[in-house]
Amino acid sequence: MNIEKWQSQIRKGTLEFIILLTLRKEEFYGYELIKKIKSTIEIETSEGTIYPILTRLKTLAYVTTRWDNPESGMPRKYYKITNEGNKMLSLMTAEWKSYSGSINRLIED
Amino acid sequence: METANFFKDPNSVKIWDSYFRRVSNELRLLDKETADDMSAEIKSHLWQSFEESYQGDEVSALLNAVEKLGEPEDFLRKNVAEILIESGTRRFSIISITKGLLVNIGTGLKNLILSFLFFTGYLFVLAFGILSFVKIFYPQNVGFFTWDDGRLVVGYTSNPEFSNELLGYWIIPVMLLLSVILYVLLTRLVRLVLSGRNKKLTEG
Repeated sequence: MNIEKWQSQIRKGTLEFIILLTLRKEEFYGYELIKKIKSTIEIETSEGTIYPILTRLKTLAYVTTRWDNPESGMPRKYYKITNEGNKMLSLMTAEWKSYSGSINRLIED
Repeated sequence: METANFFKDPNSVKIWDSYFRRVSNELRLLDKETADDMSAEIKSHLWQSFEESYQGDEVSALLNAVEKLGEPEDFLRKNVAEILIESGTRRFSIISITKGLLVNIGTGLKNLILSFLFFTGYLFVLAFGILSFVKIFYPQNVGFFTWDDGRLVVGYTSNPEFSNELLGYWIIPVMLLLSVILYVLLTRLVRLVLSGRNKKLTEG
């Protein structure tokens, strides 16, 4: 195992969590969402990989979508977290805190 | 929004159109509404990325945006397979599930094996259904046959001589029932695999 592969696995495995965290306060359209995520976390995969995840989150009813047609430029598809999504996010956050807490304790031992 | 409306360089138009031909090709198995929705979202993304990269050279800015977005075959294929299988299992549509399984074949060894197993199962569903109709036209050749030497055939045999046929025309409802039961079981299993995958992904 090399560090790049491990980093990539962690980033890919937590992308759904990161998307829901980013959406919890405001709605974003796809491109804007990626930019927002990239401004806080380094993502090596192509930008397109976010769309299958957004589709899956919509299928699971964790997000809803709406199209907005600005007067100039292309229409934008906005994503908004649902109550179901917020419930899942709370569970994920609790799990993340518990798991990362355990790892931190192992590191400090 | 047509590309001719916003690109000045014909090479940019070619790059854009070529990219969206590939997108359309990947989305061709989806219903029109879903495919149009996904294509419009990718167009919106690529255009905004292009606008941000643009500093006077259209082609460079567009190629840069395309590179960042990625190959449509890479990020759309698995997505299309999941949409087809999910909607197929929800609506009990064997056509949608079959399409999804066929797309799934190209997305990795594990998916290839899973698709093959489910596909074989659905072939049995079809075979049971067909056998019940064949019985009407070839009543002597379709049934539950046993021979004194221990041989047994459930289905079609071209040589039923010296056999005992146990079910008669009851083979028709039996085959239809088996077909329906297997179909429901397989479809639920596909849904279970899919939801397990979703659960695993959302649990990170």
